[in-house]
Amino acid sequence: MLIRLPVIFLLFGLLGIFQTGFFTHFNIMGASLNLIFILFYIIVFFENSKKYIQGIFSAFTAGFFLDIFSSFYFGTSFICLLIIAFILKHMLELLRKKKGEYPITYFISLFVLSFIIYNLFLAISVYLLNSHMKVSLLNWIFVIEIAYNLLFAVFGFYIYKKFKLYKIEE
Amino acid sequence: MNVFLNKRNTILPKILIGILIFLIFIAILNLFQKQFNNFFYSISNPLYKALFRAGANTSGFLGLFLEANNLARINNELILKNQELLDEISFLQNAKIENQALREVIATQQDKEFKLVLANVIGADNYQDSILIDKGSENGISENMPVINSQNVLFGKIFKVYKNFSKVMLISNQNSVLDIKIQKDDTISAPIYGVLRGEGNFTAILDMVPLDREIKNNDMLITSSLEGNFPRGLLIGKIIEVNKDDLKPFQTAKVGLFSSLKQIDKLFIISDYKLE
Repeated sequence: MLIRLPVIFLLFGLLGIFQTGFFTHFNIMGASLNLIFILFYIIVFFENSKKYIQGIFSAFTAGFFLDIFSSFYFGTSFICLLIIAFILKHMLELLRKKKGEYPITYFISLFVLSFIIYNLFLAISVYLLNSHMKVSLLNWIFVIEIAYNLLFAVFGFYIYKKFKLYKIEE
Repeated sequence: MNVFLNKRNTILPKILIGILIFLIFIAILNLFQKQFNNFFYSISNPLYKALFRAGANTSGFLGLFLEANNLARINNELILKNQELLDEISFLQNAKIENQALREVIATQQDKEFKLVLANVIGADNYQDSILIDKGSENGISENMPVINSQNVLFGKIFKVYKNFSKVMLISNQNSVLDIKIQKDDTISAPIYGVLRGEGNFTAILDMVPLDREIKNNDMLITSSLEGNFPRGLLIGKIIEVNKDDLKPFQTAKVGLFSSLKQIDKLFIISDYKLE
């Protein structure tokens, strides 16, 4: 755990730079990629639903970097991600049939739900706190954005799953 | 029972202390937000810049493949456009001679050159329609300064300034509103003014154009300087689709912005513009 947390921190920072540096040129009709959110979601999804430390740490780190790269007040994204982490944990507790089973259908449906909650929360925060961010949830670009992010998340799902299987075999 | 109550009694203060520490921590972070951001951008600047350029090159390379089918059509369009432009050049050359003579007489200050600060783009935030540049308060940058490229295309204005970096709110940002003038071929009719509103996702629309004024596709938009934030005559984009509805008081139009993320590497900040 002591090694894993700094690695997670560095990974979020690196993905944040990729997200705002490299991937800004790969918008699909204005829909953009949120790699930090995807990594956060994967970590929370695969963490044991009874454990919280990694999820909370990921929420804090992901929130920290999201706030650095945007112009939000520090803490805005963290609170939002923390709420999502707790919702996810509870949902997974209800949905997961047995330990170690990670069906892709759960992953996809919960990802879409989390992504909508995240953007909804940000939209409300923008309305209340900050005025320099777009609030566009009710348009087709948002649908493209979900699909675009989902594609990368599913890719991450299989990578993470393979990595986990490799660890178990070891 | 007592043990259970005691446990509950100790958990609650711990949670409250935890929340309090967290709130203090967040408050400290926010208090030094500018310094934090500046520090982070400073240490990640080389990687940031390299990735931004690599992204631009890669997307340009991939774009070539995607656009391969359209190359013949684009070529034909460019040949036609070239002919139109050659025609326009000869017209403008005559106009230039007249214009120079008039300037000498009037000694107008309209063509006064602005003090420009060169800046490199190191990153962009798609969620906010904003970009990060490597010039900040140390370089004399302050909020609301206009940002253009070498072709006089308006990108936006500075909205957040750090010590060595600044954030530029692009004109496609949902909070961006600016007065524009529609450039028409004929110089006899009265000028048409309107408002350009950012729509997010690097798009913008033209609004507040009276119904009785005729606008059409490919009409060019330039800044009018009526709102006082931008100098007049900066290029913005061209109309790509006019929406005219007799039930609405104004006509609107979709605008193809000239300020594209793919074409930015170096930008200029107008550091001494003041409304005259």
